[in-house]
Order: sequence, then C-alpha cells, then structure tokens
Amino acid sequence: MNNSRIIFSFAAANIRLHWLRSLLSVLGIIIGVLSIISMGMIQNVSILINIEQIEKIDTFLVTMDTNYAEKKSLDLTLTDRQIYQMKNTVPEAVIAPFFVDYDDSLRKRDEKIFVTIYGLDPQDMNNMFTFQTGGPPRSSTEIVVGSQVAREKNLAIGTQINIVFSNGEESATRIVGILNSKPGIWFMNPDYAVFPYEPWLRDRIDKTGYDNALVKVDDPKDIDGVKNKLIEEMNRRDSIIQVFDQNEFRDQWLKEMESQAVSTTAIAAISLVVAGVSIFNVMVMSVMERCREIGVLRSIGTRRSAIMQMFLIESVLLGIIGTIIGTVLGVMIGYTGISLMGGMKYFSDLSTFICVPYAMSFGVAISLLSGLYPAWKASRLNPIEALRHE
Amino acid sequence: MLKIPTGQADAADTLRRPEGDPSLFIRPFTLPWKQEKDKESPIIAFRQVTKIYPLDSGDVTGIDNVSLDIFPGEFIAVMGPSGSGKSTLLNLMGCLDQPSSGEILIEGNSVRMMSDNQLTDLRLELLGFIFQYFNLFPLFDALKNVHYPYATRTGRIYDTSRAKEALREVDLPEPFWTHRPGQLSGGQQQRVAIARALVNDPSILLCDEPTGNLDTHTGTTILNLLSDLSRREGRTIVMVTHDPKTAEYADRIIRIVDGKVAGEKG
Repeated sequence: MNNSRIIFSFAAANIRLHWLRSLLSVLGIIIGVLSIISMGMIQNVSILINIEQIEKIDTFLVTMDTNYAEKKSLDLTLTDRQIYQMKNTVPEAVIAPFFVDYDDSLRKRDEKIFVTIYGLDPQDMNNMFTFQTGGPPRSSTEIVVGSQVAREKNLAIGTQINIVFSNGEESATRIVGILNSKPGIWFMNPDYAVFPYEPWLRDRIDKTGYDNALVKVDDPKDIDGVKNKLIEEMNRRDSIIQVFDQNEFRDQWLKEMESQAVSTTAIAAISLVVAGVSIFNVMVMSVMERCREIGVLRSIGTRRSAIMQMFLIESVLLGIIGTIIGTVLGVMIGYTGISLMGGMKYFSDLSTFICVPYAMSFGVAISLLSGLYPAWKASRLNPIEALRHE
Repeated sequence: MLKIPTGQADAADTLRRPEGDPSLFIRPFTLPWKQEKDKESPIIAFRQVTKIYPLDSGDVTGIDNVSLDIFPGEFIAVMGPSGSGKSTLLNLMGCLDQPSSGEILIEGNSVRMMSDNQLTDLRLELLGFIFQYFNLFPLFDALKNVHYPYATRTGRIYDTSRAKEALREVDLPEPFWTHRPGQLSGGQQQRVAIARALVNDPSILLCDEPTGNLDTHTGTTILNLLSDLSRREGRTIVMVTHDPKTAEYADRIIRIVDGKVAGEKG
C-alpha cells in the first residue's frame, strides 16, 4: 500500500483551506530562518573582513610586565635604557615609545572633545603613521589629530584647539597635521587620538619614561620573529616586558564575535521556537477541528500511522514553505547587508553560506517537532468519539 | 485452515511489491476472511456480547449479553428508542469498538484478539460505512471522496476507474463527480457516501440512520438503492433506524431495548 500521496493531498488541502492561519504560522518560521541566515552571513563576512585587516597589521605593543613591576615596586613605565636596549635588539624594526596623558582634555571653542592625548616623538610619528595632510608638530603650539576626530569634529589644518589641563590651565594649539586612518592598532586607536609636541607635553605633565612602545615591522609576517627576539633578549633574566600582538587581538576579537554570534543566533533561534509553538497551536487546532474527519478516516480503514503521517506532513509542509521563503529572503537581506559593508568579495565564500543549511534544518526540525504531539494525539483518537464530535 | 489472529501485527504486515506490476503496491493478506464464503454460516455473529462504558458517575451498559447471527445477503434493520444501544451494536459490528465481554465473529473469525491495524484492514476490506450526516471529506470532490478508500487499499493513486464505476452504480450523474460535498444536495451526498462504502466491494454495509438527514422522497430513493444492493448484489446490510417505515425495507428487523434484543421480525 502506498497512499502517502493521498495523505499528502489531505495535508496540502487543509493548508490551502486554512491559508490565513497557515500563513501566520509560516510567518514565524520565515522570520526565524531569515534572521539566522542574514545575521549569519553578515557576521561571517564581517569576521572575514576584520581578519583580513588584522593580518595586515604590522605593529605590536610592548609594555612592562605587570608581575615584574609589582615585584620590583615599579610603576608600569619603560625606561629610556630599556627602549635603547630594545632598539639595539631589533634594529630592523621601528620602535616608537609613547605615553598617555589620561588627565587632560581638549576644547574647541565651547565644545569639549573627548579623545586620548598621546605623547609620541615627532620622528616616530613620521615612522609609524602617514599624514592625510600636514606633518608632525614642531613646537608646543602645534598638534596632530587622528582622521576620525578630524572628520567628526570638523577639524582642519589651522583649526585652533586648546589643551585643558587638570589644574584648569589651558594651552592653545593649532592643528598642523591630520593622520591617515590606521586600523588595527587596537591598543592605541590613533584615529581617535591627538598628538601634541611630545617634549613640551612631557615637561608640562612632568612625565618620565614611557607607558608603552609600538614596534613596527616592514612585513606583517616578520612580527613573530621580531617579537621572539625581543622577548628572548629583554626577558633573559627576568620577565620584564609583555608583548601584545595582532594574534592576541584577533583571538580576543574572535572570541567576542563568537559570543556575539551565539547571542544573535540564540535570539533568532528563539523566534524559531516561538514559530514552533505557533505551528503546534495550529496543529492542535487542526486536530480539534478535524476530529470528525479523523473518525471517518479511521472508520473507512485508515491506519493510525497514516493519520499520524497526515498531520506530520502538514506541519512539516508549513515548515518547508516557511524555510524556503525565509532562506530566499535571508540570502537577499544578507546580500544587501554584505554589499553595504563592502564585503562582496566574501559573498561567494563557502563559509558565508554555512548558516543556510543549519537554519533550514532547524526550521524544518522545529516544525516537525511541533507537529509530533498533535499528530500522535490525532492518531490516538477513538474513532467513535471522533465521529460524534460536532 | 483458517489462520487465527494473534493480536500482534505480523511481520508480513508490511508493504510488498507484487511481481509483474511495479506500479502497484498492495498489502498482503494478513486477515483470514479471504476464504470461500459459506452462505449457511453467519457473516456476523454476536456471542453473549456485553459492552460496558465506565463513567465517573458509574458504569453504563450499552449492550447487555446480546447474541445474534446475521447471514450473508441479509438486509437487517436495527430499531429501538434513543439510548437503547443501536449505535453501540453498529460500532461493535464495525469493529470500531471492542466488547467488554463475549465474542464477535466476522465471517467466522473472532475480532477480539485482532490488533488495531488488523481491525483497520478489516474495515477497509470487508466493511462499508454509511452515516446519517454523510461524513464526506469537504476538501475533496465526489470522485476523490469515493476513490480514497480504494487508493488506500490498492495504492492505485491515479486509477479512478473503480470509483467511477461505484458512482455510476449509485446513479450519480457524471457532471457532479467533480463537485465538492458542499455543492451537492443531501441525496447526492448520500449517494457519494454509498459509492465510497462500495468502492472496495465490501461484503457488509453498516448504515447509521442513512435517511435521517434526507427528505422523504430522497430517503425513499436511497432506501431503494440499498435494498437493490442487498438483493441484486447479495451484500449484507445492517441499518440502524428509529423510523418504522424505513425499517420496512429490511428483510429482518431486530428491536433493541435497554441494550438487549427485545424481539425480531421477519
């Protein structure tokens, strides 16, 4: 006996008859599947773009080892001697020590500008960054700003900004240079930084030593070699320095992205579970409404298993319809999002579509699970009671 | 020798593809009634059958120690007041329910130990049901309604020739075959229901108030049709009714009162 086509036609006919109700339950699956797919695709491309940028990073950071500083009761400051030693160890790399002025702020007329003030030698600034316009500061009245600060605060060469010191005193400066964007220096973020003339700032805030040192290599692939040489030489007797490179950044960032992906997928999955509850509701109603029909089917020789199949097919059909529509819409939304991000070169990457089979299987599985109990209930109906049902 | 059902689904109770016809799937015989019919033996036999419905308010006896024999080709009317046990009797004959005690034999075989699947197969192959409210599938047209049990039994999904034959047999004009039940009159719907009951060529037709929802003229036509099916084709018909005029069409009238056979006529 092969009456599955007839059973299928029963299920399909019932979906057609209650099209509005079916549509509403399908809508939940559509939303769930499209959310998982579009978010998954966009997130994946965003990861790929960022990894590409991370791999281009040619700079890493050296700081004093916190344990060492604690043990020797030192503040976390690298000395001139240590910087000299580092420069001698890796002459092939550019070493740019800097300090951070955490206490002071900036003002442009009446507007306060919240950015970080760095003290970086003008020569090192030239070695580490490139300039959109202008050049490094050469006196206490000159200052360089990062690209994002310049854009957001509408700053240009010649614009006057004041450094507001913690004691209330102010020092007027004029912008002489705007840096090009340099993504990936996560430990400094030069795009949102300002750089007054370093020797003047050091005197003004009475700073000795350096908080950190940037180490730049010609080829990002050389980072590991340079890093190892530095660690080997500097930490020969004691663990004096700590190194943070792009790998650390990438790992930390990927971990963050992963937890973000898990939470967004979980939100999307919750909508699918809600859709499952909606399908469950529709199926329970369907069983109640079709009680008499089930009674007739049973009385004219339809097996329980066939009744069960009929309802399972109905719920799976709803799931398949919702999943297909959700997939198409999800890919379309994902495509739009990716093109807006400028990541079209990663659109055809296989990993971009890895979320599609997962979302599809999840959509269909949820609808199948939602249909299980109502289908079982329908198959267990007593035919006499079912026939009596009004 | 008859095979006695064990109450368990047989291993052979699965699909098989018969040789020579790859398009056809049929269920192998799992039931013992495909034997040569014996006109002298009862086709339905009740042996001290009692049916008790356990309710919270106390047990209710639907049928009380009923014994009766129905022979092949008989047209039986079961009469009695409301709540007398007519429908219980019909449900037991239709294997929709099992007795609390006693034994029911269909073509000489006890249905007591049959599995649910075997009882379902029995209904599919041996019994035809005709209901007062027709109970057609509202989403399907007349032809599909009739075709369903045949397709279920044989797996011949696209072969509607037998369904058409059954519709001709009940005199439903061809233009109505593509109409859904909602587009048919009561009499036409009942004809479709009878055709559906006949499509698998059952030996027994069980009718629950088949004219109860029809006007007198249409009711008479349907009764003539049932009578004809009994006399011309030798089908056994058991019809539950509370209307004495309807019962007159039967060869034998069984009167049920308080779950017991109170008398027989004919």
